[in-house]
Amino acid sequence: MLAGAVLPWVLLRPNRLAPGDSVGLPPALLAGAVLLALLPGFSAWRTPRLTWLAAALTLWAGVWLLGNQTGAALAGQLPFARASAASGAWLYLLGAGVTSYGAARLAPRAGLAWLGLAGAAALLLSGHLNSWSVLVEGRAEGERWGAALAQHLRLVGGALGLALLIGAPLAVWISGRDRAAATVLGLASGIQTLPSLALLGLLIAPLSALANAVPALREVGVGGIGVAPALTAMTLYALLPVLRNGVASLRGVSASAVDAARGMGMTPAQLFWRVQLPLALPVWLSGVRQAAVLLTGVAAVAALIGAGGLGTYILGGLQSAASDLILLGAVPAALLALALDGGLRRAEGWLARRLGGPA
Amino acid sequence: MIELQGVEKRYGNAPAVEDLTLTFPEGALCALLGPSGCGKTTTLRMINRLVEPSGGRVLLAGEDTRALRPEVLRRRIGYVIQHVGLFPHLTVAQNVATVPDLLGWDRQRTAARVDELLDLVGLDPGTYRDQRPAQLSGGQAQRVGVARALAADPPVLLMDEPFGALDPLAREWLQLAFRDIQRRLGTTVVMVTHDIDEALRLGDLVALMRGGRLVQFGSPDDLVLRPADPFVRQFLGEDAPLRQLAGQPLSAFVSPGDPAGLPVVDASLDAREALGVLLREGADALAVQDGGAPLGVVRWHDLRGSGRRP
Repeated sequence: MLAGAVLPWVLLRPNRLAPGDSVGLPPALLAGAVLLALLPGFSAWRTPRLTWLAAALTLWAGVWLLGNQTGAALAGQLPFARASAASGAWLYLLGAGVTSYGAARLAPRAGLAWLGLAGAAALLLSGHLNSWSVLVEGRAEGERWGAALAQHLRLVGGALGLALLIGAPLAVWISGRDRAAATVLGLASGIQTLPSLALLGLLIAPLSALANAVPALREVGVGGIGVAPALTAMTLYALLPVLRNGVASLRGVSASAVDAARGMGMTPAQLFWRVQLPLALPVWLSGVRQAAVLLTGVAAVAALIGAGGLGTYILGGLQSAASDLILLGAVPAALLALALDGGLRRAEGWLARRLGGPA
Repeated sequence: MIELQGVEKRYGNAPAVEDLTLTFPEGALCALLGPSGCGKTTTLRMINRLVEPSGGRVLLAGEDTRALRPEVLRRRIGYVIQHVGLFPHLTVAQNVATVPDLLGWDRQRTAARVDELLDLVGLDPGTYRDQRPAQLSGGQAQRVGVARALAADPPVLLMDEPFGALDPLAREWLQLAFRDIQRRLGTTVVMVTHDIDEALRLGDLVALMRGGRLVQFGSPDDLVLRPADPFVRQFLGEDAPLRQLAGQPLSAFVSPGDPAGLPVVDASLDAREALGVLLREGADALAVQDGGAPLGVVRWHDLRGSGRRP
């Protein structure tokens, strides 16, 4: 973080694509940033219980400085000029993030450490960061960006739904059959081994052939490129975690509980719904979580075959060497993955507690 | 009550149980005893068709068990296993209510029955009703297991090493408590065990199996005093008469007599301890007192066999 304070903070460019000049922090702010960078270390040494506050302050200050400096840099520039975060700002924010993560372990309540994040979000919403290049691009894109995010979510949700629809019954069926389980899981992990791009490419030929052979399918949007192959590939990817955890969780159900249930006269269906499924669910859900996180990443690649989503910005940004556009796709995709992971993790914990914990 | 007629079970060509014919009489507690792999658990599981017999017939109250769907049959037969198998996601009350729920009892009747059964196995319903299985000790869990098996008041109870996983204290307590409950309810019980003491102490009848075949079926006295072949004697051990005495209340062996000049013992001793006193004192008989009041006399030969069962 110290290095971050000293390194150039803002990269000012006359327009989106041109090379630019680096601008450091002015001396007064530099001193403040250095002091703040030292604060969490000092606090951890003297008052560990307050470290979360120091960490939150640094994170908040880092974001504030970014907004302040980009705004200052753009003052008096043409509307095409862009002020983006430079190495110093990134390093400082990274440091503050790591510190907050560490401070969360020292904090009396885990949630306190993330107050900094809430502060940063508040700054973002208040418009303080509006001069930052990524947000300038975002505002320019506006509705289209929202549509891309929605499309991304639709892709992830759709593929996850399809994978569950196929994978859940399949997992139940193969969990009691060793040979079928070996075959199906082998196949699913084989698919998982293929690079996502290769899988998308491989699907182009058969799907366009299918669309040509059955025009009715073409009517509903099946073709070699677009949403259909993307959804197909993503569903195939998500199958492995859904299947593997499904089989493992169903097999992990206590054998004596199953024996007792059968011995007391439950039918196979009652055994499944009343005993096996509730006991398997928490472990199974962790497979769904892995699938959701995985899909968030694969969905970004799906933009390559015209399926849309946040990947569109990453690709467009790469093609035109506009790093702000890349960030506009990459940052939300990363945050989405983290949010899905955190949310589903909580659901797992809640379920496990409700269902009496691992047997 | 339960009749096995020429029952057998084969896995491929390997026989697990061969030509087994025996009758477990109504209201009796019958122990299936034998070394591991002798087919006793398979035999037990053929009664409620968790294992389908390859041949022969099993009759329950005179009715062929194959006449019923397995689920319907099993709801009429209580089932207790060594590892209890409580459902960890359900409360104690919900666990006990399993079979009443399957039978579609109404809520009030089930709730009343659950409390009644928790009382029966010595667990206060108010305290334990809403607990989770994870909060229970091993002994408490098995008591819930027994309550769950008895919930729908089945005429027959099958138990597979029900007390095998408990520590000795909890085991002995639960054995005696269960014996008491069984007598009161008059349930016909078939209990698999490899614990000779348990079989001799709890069983009205003991079936000793070896290699999938029945070796001897009779009362503990029959097996101990009149072993059918050398294997029975060897399996029970030469100290089987002593094992049989352990845990038997001395009062069951007392007969009227003149206590004058005899060593005095208290009726709280068990029969085996009284035998120890006889050996130590070199006496032929003991005067038994119950808290100071004379009860009668126990003689050497009275201790042979398992006495007059209470």
